[in-house]
Amino acid sequence: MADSETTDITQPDDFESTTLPHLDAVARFALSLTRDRSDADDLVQDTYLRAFRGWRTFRPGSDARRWLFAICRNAFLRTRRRRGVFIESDEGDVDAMPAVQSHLQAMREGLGDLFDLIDVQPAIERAVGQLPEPHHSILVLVDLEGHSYEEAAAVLDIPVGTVRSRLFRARRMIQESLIAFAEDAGLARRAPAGASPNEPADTVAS
Amino acid sequence: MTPVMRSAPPTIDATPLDPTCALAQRRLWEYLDGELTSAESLEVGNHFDHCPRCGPHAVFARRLLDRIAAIRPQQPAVTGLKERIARLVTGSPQEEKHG
Repeated sequence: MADSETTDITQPDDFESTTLPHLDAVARFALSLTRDRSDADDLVQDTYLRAFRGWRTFRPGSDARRWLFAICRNAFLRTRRRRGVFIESDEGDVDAMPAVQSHLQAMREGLGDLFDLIDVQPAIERAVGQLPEPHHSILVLVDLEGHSYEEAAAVLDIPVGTVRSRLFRARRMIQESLIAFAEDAGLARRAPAGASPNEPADTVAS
Repeated sequence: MTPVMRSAPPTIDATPLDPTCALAQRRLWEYLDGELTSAESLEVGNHFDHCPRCGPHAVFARRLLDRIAAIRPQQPAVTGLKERIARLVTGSPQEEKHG
C-alpha cells in the first residue's frame, strides 16, 4: 500500500456509502477477535476512525470489506501489544499430518470420538480464545468468517502459504487442547500393559 | 479376574502409510476447506470415503471444524455504533493524518 495512488474520493459521503455497508461484518469480526462486546465496540470505532483518516489511500473499486478487516486486525494487534498480551509465534504446520498424528494419539487413548464423549464446546471456546497471535486472527478469518486462504492472506498481507501453515497449526493447537480437556476429565484409556509392537503406540512414531 | 473396560482398544493399522493415504492425510485441511481443485478434491474425498484408516481422521477433523465454526458470535447490534461512527466521520477534521 506504500505506493498506492491517492484518490480524490475524500468526501465523507463517499466514505460512508463505501464503508458503512460493511459495519455488520466488521463488528462481528471485531467481536470474534476481542471476545468482549465493549472491547469490540471500541475496536470498531477505532477501525472506522483509522479508515476515515486513511481514506485517501483507499483505491476506488477495490474490496472495502477486506480493507476494513485489515485495518481492524491491525488495530486489534496494536491494542494487544499495548496490553502486553501479544505473543508472536510464527510456528506453523506444513500440512495436516501433525493433526492426524495427534488424532491417532487420541484414538490410542480411546478419545478418537471425543465429540461423542463430552461436551467440548466450552473447551473449544476457551482454546480459540487462548490461541496466540498471529494464529488467532487467521483462525477467525477462515474458520469463523469463512474467508478463503487467499482472502485471509490479502487481509493479513502475508503469503497464502503462511496462512495455510498458521491455520493448520492453530487447528492442531485447538485439537490438542480438546484432547487434554478430555484427558483431564478422566476419559482417556491407557493402552494395556504388554501391548504388542503392533499396538497403536508404534503407529504414531514420526 | 477379567478387567472391566469401557470398550476394546481401537485397532489401528500399524503398517506404514501407503502413498495414497499419506497424500490424503496431508491434504486433509485443504480438502475440508474447499481449497483443492475439483479433481484433487474428488480424489482425496473418494479416498477418505473408502479408506478405513484415513476415514476416521476426516470425520474427526470435519466435526472439529464444525464445532469451531459454531462459536462464531451472533451478529452484534450496531445501531448505536453506526451513529457514533457517522458522528466520528462528520466531526473529524478531514486533513488529520496518522502514523
